[in-house]
Amino acid sequence: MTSISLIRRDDNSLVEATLQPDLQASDLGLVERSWIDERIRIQQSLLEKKVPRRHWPESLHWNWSQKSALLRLLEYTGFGIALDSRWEGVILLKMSSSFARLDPDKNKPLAYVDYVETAPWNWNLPSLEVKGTFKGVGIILLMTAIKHSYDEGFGGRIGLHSLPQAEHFYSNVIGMTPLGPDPDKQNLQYFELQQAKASNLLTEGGVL
Amino acid sequence: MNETKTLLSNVDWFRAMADQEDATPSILVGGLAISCGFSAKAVSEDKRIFGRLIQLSRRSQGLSMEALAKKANIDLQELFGIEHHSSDAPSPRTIFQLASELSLPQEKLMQLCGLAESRDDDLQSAALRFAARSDPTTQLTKEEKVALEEFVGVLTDRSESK
Repeated sequence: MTSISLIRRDDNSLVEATLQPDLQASDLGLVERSWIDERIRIQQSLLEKKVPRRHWPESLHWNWSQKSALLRLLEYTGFGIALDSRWEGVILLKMSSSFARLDPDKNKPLAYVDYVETAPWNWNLPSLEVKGTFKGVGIILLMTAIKHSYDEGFGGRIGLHSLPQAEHFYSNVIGMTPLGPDPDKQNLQYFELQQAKASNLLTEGGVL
Repeated sequence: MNETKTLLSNVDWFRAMADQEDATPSILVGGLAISCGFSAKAVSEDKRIFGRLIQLSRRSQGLSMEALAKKANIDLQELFGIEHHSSDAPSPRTIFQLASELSLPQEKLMQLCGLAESRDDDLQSAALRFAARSDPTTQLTKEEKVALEEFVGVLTDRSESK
């Protein structure tokens, strides 16, 4: 079992949680059922306050429960952050058929981050003057991905297609390299984390 | 004995990184969403609700998709795209045909699928509640029936009051 700490926003205290391995894509439908009520409440608030849609969280329209049949067909390795029987965040990785495009790691296998999300009650929503419950969920999930890549012999290399609102997080916080819009993925920006940077992160974070 | 490991032992580093994450709007990636047919751009919520309304209205009348497409004299593939919100906005003719067959107010359907401007925030809130309480299974549940009746009631009231 792996222990992690989340940071409670209102008092900056550390709260111990568990990193749960072996999640499958099909588990996402179950996770969504625990998150849907909060998503709906957020949508209602955004409508009531007439917040322009371009400022809405980009995942509000994704309905995973409708895609549960498709999710059962997909091969993933996933991790979830569990606290008091609630999922605080989930990440799903594809560990095959993804290879680095960036030198000096070109053509080496990497872990592809196909899905990552923090629970809606953890979102900061400035347009609603809402601060979420816990912070640090994204860092924990990305470090989990990097460590899993390292443990599987991929050197910590990861790749992903970032949504526009998240590009700053991946380039400036995680330190990934943008390789440009990908026409095969709705022109989303593709990012890679090189092995050398991954090693630095794992060392700085006290993972290795 | 199960040994408990700690992932990030450098707490100061983690706190600093968490603060940086907090200053960014999102961590979302698009891979799985695109594979599952979601648009990484903001899909019109109204279009999704329109599709759900058509589907539940059809099911409440005990009609298959084929039967409704035939009765309304519209393309089956277009109806499938509407109900699964994977198509572009339906044509005004399609909306007129569906409104007639399903006894729904055409003007409100036009607003829901983005072919007419909507300024009615109460309608939007009602649409959202309807979407949240409905689920695409074969037989309408009691809750879906209530949700559908309430939403159709709102649509009809607002059309009649104009």
